[in-house]
Amino acid sequence: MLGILVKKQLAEIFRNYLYDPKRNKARSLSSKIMMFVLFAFLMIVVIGGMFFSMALGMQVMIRLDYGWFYFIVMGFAALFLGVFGSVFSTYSTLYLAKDNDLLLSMPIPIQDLIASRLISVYLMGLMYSGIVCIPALIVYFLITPFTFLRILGGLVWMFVVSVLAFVLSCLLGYVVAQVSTRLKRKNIVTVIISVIFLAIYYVFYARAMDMMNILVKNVALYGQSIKDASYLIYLFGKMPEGFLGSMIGYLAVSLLLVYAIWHILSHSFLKIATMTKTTTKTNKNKTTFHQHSLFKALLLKEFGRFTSSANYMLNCGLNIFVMPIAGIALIIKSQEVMNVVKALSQNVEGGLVVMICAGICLLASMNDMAAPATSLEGKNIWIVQSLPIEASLLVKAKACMQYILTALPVCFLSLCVIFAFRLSLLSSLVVLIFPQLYCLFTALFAAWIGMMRANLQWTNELYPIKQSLSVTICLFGGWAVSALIGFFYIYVGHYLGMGVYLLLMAIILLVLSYVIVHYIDHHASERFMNMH
Amino acid sequence: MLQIKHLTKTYGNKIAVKDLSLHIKPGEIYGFIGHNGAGKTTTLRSVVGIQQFDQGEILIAGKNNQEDPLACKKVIAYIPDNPDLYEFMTGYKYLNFVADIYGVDSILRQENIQKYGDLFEITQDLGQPISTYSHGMKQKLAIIAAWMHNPQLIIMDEPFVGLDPKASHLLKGMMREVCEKNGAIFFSTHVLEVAEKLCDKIAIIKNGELIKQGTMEEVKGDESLEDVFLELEEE
Repeated sequence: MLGILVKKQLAEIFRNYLYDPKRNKARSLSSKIMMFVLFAFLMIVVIGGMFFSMALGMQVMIRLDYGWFYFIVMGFAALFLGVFGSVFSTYSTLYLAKDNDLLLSMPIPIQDLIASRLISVYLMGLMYSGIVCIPALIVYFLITPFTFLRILGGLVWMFVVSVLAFVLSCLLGYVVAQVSTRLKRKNIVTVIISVIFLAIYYVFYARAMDMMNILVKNVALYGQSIKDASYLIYLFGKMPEGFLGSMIGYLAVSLLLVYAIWHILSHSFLKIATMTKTTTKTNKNKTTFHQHSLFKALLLKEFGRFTSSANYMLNCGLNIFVMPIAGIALIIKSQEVMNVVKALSQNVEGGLVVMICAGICLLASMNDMAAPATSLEGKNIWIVQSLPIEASLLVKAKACMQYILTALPVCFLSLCVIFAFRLSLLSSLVVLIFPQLYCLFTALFAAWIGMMRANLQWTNELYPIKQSLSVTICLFGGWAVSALIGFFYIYVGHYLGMGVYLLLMAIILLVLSYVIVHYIDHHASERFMNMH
Repeated sequence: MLQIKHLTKTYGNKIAVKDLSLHIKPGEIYGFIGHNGAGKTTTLRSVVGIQQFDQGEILIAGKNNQEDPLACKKVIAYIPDNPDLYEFMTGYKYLNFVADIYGVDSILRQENIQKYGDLFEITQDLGQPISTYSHGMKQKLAIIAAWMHNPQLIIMDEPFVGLDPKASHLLKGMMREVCEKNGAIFFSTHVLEVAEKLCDKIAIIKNGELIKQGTMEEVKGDESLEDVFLELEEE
């Protein structure tokens, strides 16, 4: 029984490698092999390679006889990756699994069910922490000779890290599940938390090399501090160096923690698995029955759809948050950025303005919520088809949503740029207006391509949001157009001067926008009628 | 109210509906019965204007639904066989969205929501997201949305599926009320007892072709509708 359940858990985790949700059927053998090769490449070569480089960067510690400190740093990195790599799957597989009701209604011993879920959580943690631990051990043994105790210590260390990752993942997963069932605006909170994590990740990533260098240079000082302050952490690092006492101690603690998790879950699993979710209830108030215009009703519907899904917001609207952050960062770092941009442009003020416009457009291109909007109608398409709605108005509402959600942060970013670079009045006007025209064009284009390439036959909303051709075209096409605006100026446009060049670009954008609107006005009804 | 003239629809080589003609007058409840895959849903979707057809003409209140689809949609309401509603909206938001589309003023929409919400005992759930609704609750919400703008013609595909007995009874009363106000109902069903008791006229479709239509007496005579239907199916 346990074997069957573990197999089911693993099949669920690797579902996308075995099953093609786009075509709603199992992948062919060659496709499966390719998916697993790609996965192995990503995990071993890309991520594993990154941590191998990190380990190589810190090999000095081993040579200076601070191998234990090296293992503390690598161990904590492994722990971090193990926990955050598995915490969300813990949340969904252990606590809020969709098949809890089904499996609980079957004659399956509850212990087998818990064990199967825990094993899959542990394996996920082991996989992620292993990506750090294995390169760390390889680099260590490249420098230090093999002994039985060191090999044993390395294996125990890796096991202890994976168990600690497992325990923390279970605890954090429990917190995430509790918060998720009680939170009202969980989509918005998910987006905000994701943005904070991304920001922390990028700050950490940007400063990782500096931090590593400081650590290596001051290894003796920091090492002694850790040894004095926390002997337990010191013992953690001593494990792979073959110190038997720490191995036994940590092994015992790990087994005790596993037992504790098992004991707690055995007593609380049923309660957790069957807890009811809190839902947002809107009470009737004065505004509940307000009448809106047709267009506003459609626009509100689009905003409602956008804010209902964290996936939608994160994948198609992340730059709503990023652009204001970029604007503030620009004010802080204006001098450094200005030097780079000056070096890139030949005509200083004009070149700077064009580069700024191209840069803002590039960031604005990453918002493409109108592109999957038609596909996201999905099985609800009958509603807009059967109601007396001009299809063109519906497409324009989708474009309008994107325009509003992009134009406002773009406006803020433009103001930050104007302030940071102390631009002249004319340049300021250009920096304010040109990106707005670009936003208008991209919003219309995204809504149009979304309508042209609509695919209503999806089983998971992630497919229209992340993998549809319309989204790909909008994202990469937007980047390409933004880059071309800058490159054309450098190679050709500067002969015309900034004003004429950007005016010409603005006219092109307006003409293209008009062509799209014209097409939507005349062909949207027919397109929508044929969508099934 | 509704005239279907020589409707033909094919899917590739398969004929879904063949030369179907019907005339539904104001004040009539018109039942549409047939086996699974007979062409009922295709016909209903063609009438509503959410499906293109190959030949024929459909007139709603005298207007061609292909030439003037918006004018036709303004006077009709449609309830599909599976009420897939916007799950990201609450019941209130969905009803208000539909009311906005039909331009129903605040007072009338409030009255209708209150009236039908209370009738179907769903008022206290209207503030909840539709994603939390059961099939029956979604069906009730779809019915309230359909009645929101006092339509002249209501098209329903299997409207009684998922409804509890009380809600089914209420719906039958509401259908009769629409007809008393000179409106019309065109609906498909597999529940022959309901059709027999409720419908003024009935049409039986088999393999895309209309095999019998008329008043209940004309179609079934002294037999039960079930017997007539089964006999016709076996022919």
